[in-house]
Amino acid sequence: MGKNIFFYVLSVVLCFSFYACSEDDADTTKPVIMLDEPEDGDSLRIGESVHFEADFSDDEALGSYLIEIHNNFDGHNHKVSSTRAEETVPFSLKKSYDLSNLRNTHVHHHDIVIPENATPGAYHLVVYCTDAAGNQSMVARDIILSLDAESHHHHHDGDDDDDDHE
Amino acid sequence: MRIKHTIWVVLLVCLSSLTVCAQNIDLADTFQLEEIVVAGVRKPVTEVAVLPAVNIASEEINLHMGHSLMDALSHTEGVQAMDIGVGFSKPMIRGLGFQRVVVSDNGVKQEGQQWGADHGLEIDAFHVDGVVVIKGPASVLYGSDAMGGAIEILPPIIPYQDTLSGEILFQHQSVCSGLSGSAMLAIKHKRVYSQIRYTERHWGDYRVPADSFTYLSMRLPIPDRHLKNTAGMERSGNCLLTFRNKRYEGRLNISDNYQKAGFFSGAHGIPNNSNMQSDGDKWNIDLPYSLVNHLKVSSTNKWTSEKTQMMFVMAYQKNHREEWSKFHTHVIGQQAPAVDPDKELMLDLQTISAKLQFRYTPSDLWEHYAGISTSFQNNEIGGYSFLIPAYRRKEYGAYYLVNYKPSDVWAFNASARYDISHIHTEAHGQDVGEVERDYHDYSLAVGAVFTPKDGHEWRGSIGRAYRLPSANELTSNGVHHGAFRHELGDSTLVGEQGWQADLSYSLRKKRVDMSISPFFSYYPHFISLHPTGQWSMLPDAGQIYQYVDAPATFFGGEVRVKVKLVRDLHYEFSGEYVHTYDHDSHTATPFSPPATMRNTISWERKRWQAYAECQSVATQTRVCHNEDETPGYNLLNVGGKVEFPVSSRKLSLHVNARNLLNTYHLNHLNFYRKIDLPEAGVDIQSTIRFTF
Repeated sequence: MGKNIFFYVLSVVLCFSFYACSEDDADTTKPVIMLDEPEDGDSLRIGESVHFEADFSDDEALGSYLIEIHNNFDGHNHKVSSTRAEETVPFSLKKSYDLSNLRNTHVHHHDIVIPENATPGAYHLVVYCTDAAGNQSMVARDIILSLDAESHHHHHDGDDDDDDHE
Repeated sequence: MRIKHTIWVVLLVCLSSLTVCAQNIDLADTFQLEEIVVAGVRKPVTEVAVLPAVNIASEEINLHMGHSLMDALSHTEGVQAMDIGVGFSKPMIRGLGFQRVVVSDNGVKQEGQQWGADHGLEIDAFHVDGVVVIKGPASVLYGSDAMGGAIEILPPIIPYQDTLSGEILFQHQSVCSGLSGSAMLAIKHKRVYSQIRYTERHWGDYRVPADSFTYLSMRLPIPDRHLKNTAGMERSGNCLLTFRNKRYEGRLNISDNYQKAGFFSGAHGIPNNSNMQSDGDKWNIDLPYSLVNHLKVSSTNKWTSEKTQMMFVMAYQKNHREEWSKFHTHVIGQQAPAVDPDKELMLDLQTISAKLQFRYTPSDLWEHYAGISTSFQNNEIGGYSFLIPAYRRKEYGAYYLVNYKPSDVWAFNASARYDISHIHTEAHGQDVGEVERDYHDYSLAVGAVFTPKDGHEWRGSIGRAYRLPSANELTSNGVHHGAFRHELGDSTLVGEQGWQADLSYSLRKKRVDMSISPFFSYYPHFISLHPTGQWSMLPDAGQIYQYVDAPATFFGGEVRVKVKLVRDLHYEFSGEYVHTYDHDSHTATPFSPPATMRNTISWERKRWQAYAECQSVATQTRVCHNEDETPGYNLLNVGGKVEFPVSSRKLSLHVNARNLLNTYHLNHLNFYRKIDLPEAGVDIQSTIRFTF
């Protein structure tokens, strides 16, 4: 009796495990973001474009990426500043770019321009990237917007403003 | 001596047998030898269930009590504690949690904000005398929401003779410098039994075995190895009054539970260096924090005659929750409110429920139950942030259940239930529209128990369960803080439905006590969040996640073997495994519990007990989209108890050391797993209890 019971239970368990083996494993691997520019703690000059440079890659297929900038004035995220907002406006931005049909790509552009009236101070720059399956990764950078930051154009004199190239 | 043993065996069998197709429905008597107190055995709702269930006695709960009741229950194979950061946890059964598990306190379904990932259980853990865990779809018994199972907190045992009894206990927890105290006083006089209990708990910031944690390649400090702002407190009062005469038994229960706890500073918004710095005070509860008050009044009335019994239960509950956090917004242009500018969220849920049940026992072979139940809910909201809308929900249900026991070898059980419900959610702002939906669905369960000879028992059942979509699944539209993501509801969702088949075999012999219980469930409609690939326009949100109805499969099982080695030395093995699969995303479902096993050596005497346990948790690689794989770990836990009898009184000491080796580990089921926050380090918990 005892043995029969054991075999019965074992066969039930085996049925379950065969079922398990028949599944296709979906892609749960996140895309990889290598953000070269801006770097953590970088100061960006108000009124100029942002030098953005990154590598995106995925084991299957990329989806799209998003650049988000918002202020970090009191060390806490996305607080609405109500005081000295007369002349300047806290800068915020959300801009997405398509990466579908790519597996890895190098991105370099100067699309984002910080407007003249942006309030100087501490900001967050966050880059999100999804793959075709919906896996998402993100990289966050602490940046400073200031009026007297070094202009990046002097730094990268040799750089052409080339767009996506692989 | 022999009689003593026999009685103990009878007691054990009473506790562990699941009273499932219980024919001996009349009150059985058990004898607690030491105190010579004769008491009636409590009959949970599960007396009429055929589903697999586990009875957990108060001794077991006391022995494994952690930071919450769920810590103690998660010792049971198939039951997991979903930690919500630190200090609070919510139940999960066989991989299903949140609003898919019903917690029933004294026969009344606990109604809080079960759907919320960061909301715990508002129940005084010291007040819990015994628990029955039902694994599997139990909506036949509890109505919607019991998809995954139910946790039934049993009413206290009422002594037969007139006594004055009570309990005073103190507890210390080293990991958070926690101090708890609880006092209970009970008077039994003729037909009246009354009991009151007061409990207060305070704890400081939790200690972890790490100096820093890594979040998205950022290395963040944990100053002084304490998680900033995880201190908290809990206060509860319970009052019970029962009256019993020949035919009638009535019970009035009033309880109130208040909790206030800080949110870990790193978990509200993206953690960064500045908000991780210590504030120098390990006891303060600073912003952000949550507070919740749960008031519950219930009345249970039973009229019993020779062949029939009528039961009427009525309850009122008010769950009031507030979350406070320095004003911030995910909505562009929103200004801080003039009153309570830092009140982020207020949720106030009131529930009135009633149940009427008839039992008819025409003979020893048959037993019939029929009942109707209803509940009305009203949820109010407030605060500058938005999670779920205000809503009203009505439910009406009718059920029938029959037990048939033709012989001592076979017993059969069948039950069916039909529910009708209505939900009406209010519009909020421009993005959340009004939703009004009607749902109706049925639940079924059939099962059999086969007892070929003494000590062997087979149990099998097939059941169907359903669940109403909750307000958040229908209407969410915004960033769920802590989740860092934009969640979108779907007002066209159908109700969740699932089938479960399960089998269990148990063997109880002199030296061996074992059980094995595999299960298989298929959900044609299972609601979970899926990533959409669409970017949210809200700040700090990433892509939008939407509630999607997709088929899902769950299977797995539990094994437990307890062997008496020599004299009082026991070895116990228990293991659990759940495999979850979402047929739409082709991944696991969210929060899929990793395989776990426990190897325990224990020395059990009447007056003292000691155990050492190795808890092994496997690496979880089966994750859904955007869930991280979690590495496995081994924890060493030791503990024990000593009892000193002082005439008819008793003084007992429990010591429980968890994670004795201070192992760094992450918990896949912790809500803060997302930010790679490590679990608590070595935690020694000592409890002194004086019972009279």
